[in-house]
Amino acid sequence: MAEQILIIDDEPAIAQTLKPVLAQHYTVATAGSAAEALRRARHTAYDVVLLDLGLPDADGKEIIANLRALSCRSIIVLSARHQETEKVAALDGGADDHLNTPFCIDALMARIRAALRCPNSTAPVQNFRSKELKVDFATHRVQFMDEDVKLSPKEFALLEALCRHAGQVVTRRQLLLAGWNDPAADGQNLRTYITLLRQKLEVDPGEPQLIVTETGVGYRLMATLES
Amino acid sequence: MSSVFLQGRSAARALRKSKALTALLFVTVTVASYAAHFTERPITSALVYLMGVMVIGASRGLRSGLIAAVVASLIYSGLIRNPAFQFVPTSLDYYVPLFGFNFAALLSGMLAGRLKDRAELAEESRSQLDLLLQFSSKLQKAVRIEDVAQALYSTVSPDVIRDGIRPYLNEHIEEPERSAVLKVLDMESPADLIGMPADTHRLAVQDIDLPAFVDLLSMAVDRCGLLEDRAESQARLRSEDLKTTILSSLSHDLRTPIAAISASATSLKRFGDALSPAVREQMLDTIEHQCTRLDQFTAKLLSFGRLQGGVAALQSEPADVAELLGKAIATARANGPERLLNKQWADKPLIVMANPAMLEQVFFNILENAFSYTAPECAIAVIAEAHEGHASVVIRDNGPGVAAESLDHIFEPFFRSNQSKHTTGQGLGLFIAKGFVEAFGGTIAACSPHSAGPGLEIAITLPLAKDILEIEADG
Repeated sequence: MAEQILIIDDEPAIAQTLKPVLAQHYTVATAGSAAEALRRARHTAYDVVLLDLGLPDADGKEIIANLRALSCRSIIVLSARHQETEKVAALDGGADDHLNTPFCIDALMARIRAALRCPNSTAPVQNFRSKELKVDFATHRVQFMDEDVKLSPKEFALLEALCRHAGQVVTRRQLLLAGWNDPAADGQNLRTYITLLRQKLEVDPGEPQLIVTETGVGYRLMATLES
Repeated sequence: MSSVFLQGRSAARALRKSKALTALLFVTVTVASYAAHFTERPITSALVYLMGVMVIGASRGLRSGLIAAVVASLIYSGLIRNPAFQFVPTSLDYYVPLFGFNFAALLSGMLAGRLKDRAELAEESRSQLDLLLQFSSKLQKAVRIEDVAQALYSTVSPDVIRDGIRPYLNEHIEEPERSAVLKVLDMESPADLIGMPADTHRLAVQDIDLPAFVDLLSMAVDRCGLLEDRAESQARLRSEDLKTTILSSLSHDLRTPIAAISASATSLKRFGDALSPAVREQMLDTIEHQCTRLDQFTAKLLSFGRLQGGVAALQSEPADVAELLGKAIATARANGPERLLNKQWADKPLIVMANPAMLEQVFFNILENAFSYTAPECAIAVIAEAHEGHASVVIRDNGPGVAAESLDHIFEPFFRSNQSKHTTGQGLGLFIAKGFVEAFGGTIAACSPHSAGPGLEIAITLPLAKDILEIEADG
């Protein structure tokens, strides 16, 4: 059965455009308000929810918490590019990913695929394999372009957090938790370790293609997974 | 000659001050007169005595002069002329010196008194003039009413204002000047003047030429009012200009992409099947590309709005210049053809305090500028380094450069040089870059030609975050 997707946007033009495109691969429902969205979510367990943060009848944080409580698997927040604070609040408040509006459809499809890849907690994943990067979470073995790469434990912890959410944004807070077990740890350390990781895993560390910066939010591992 | 005169003046001043010197002078002329008389020079003897009395009268005033005259006439008549001490006032010879000496003393004393009065009057009016001059020169610098108040409070004491200026205003000055000046008087004395020099406080109400003083004050208040009016109308004009420019830019920069999108979309809808696949593809590309352009323009308008509204709430945090440069380069590359970039920076964070998204936009705007005003084969150098407590970023292109007359204006909003009129920029990118960089305490400068060629170089410096500096110093 196709995965269930719910589009929550008060702008009908967006929903009208996205629905037929997404319907090629998924079962798609739309909601024009927070109230309608929650009504639908009560009856259906959606795999991916696309949530526009500018809804007229609900506070973003509130609706994310409610959707989470109604066992929606993954929430992707759509927001204007400059609203970094809002993005971070949504992500730290339970959203899984965000996408800047306006967006191109490829980016949206990639986000949805990444969201669907993220496993349920019942089946923990043991490794990560993409075209250029292979990571074994149990043995800590890392290969980049088929060559072994030696990582320090901190570097590995950060890479693991990024790989487990491959294609999705991982906030600084989440990375600080993964690396230092403390969301209030010094962000300077995080920057330094990301720089070190990039030196080992990027063709051009000055212009990263694999571990990209989500300015003001966090980092995203851009990788095409091997099927 | 003048030194003799000066010595004379200082001797007169000494005489004025010292009684002992006066007595000494008197004894000296007495002895001289006596000596002259006994060397058969009676005229010299009388003249010497007369001169002494006149000098004393002139220097010590009428009273001392008269005392000297009486004593001198007694001595002259009784001791010098008649050594036999015959105090018999029968001879005319006795009365002549008495009258002569007293008349001389009277004349010189009166003259001295009048001179003294004159001098005092002159001194007083000089100090009044000094005060007015001092006040007027302070007022010259005043451009706001507050400056006038400051000039006033630093010139005279609050007592003078209360007992002199205020009553004078109420009695002699008409509305509306009166209330305009009263507004200045009602202003709190500026706090930084509490420790002002004490001599300004010594001036009493009667020491001040109130009409002239108030006249100066009123004129300065008038002038400030005019200046403020002019500044206001200039600001209004400027903001009207800016609004017009914004609206014309908006309508141009929004309408052009919309026109292209609209033409492409309606063509596809109506003739889609009849068009070749290549043409259809090109139209779809147009729609996509113009949407990106619209998106970037709205982002810039938003930043422009942030700058216009004041950038107080910037939410600065530690931001890595190297990382943001990489991100901006990737974004700029995604929008156009492949470009040759020469990146020079160390593989370590370069931390400044800034809003990361805004700083990224700064770098993006400059790169976008360099990309759009140079040919695709032109190399662009991006150099970032730490230098004397600052992060320095230089973005240098090898293009045709910017003419000197345009270079001064490239950071102004909506400015487009003649060379760039045909391109798609709105003239906001560099203005936003400058606004943001300066809001983060940095500097931005343009230079063309630069050290490595004829192109344009934009150099940015931003202060490195403090704690980072300390960590490096510790290490």
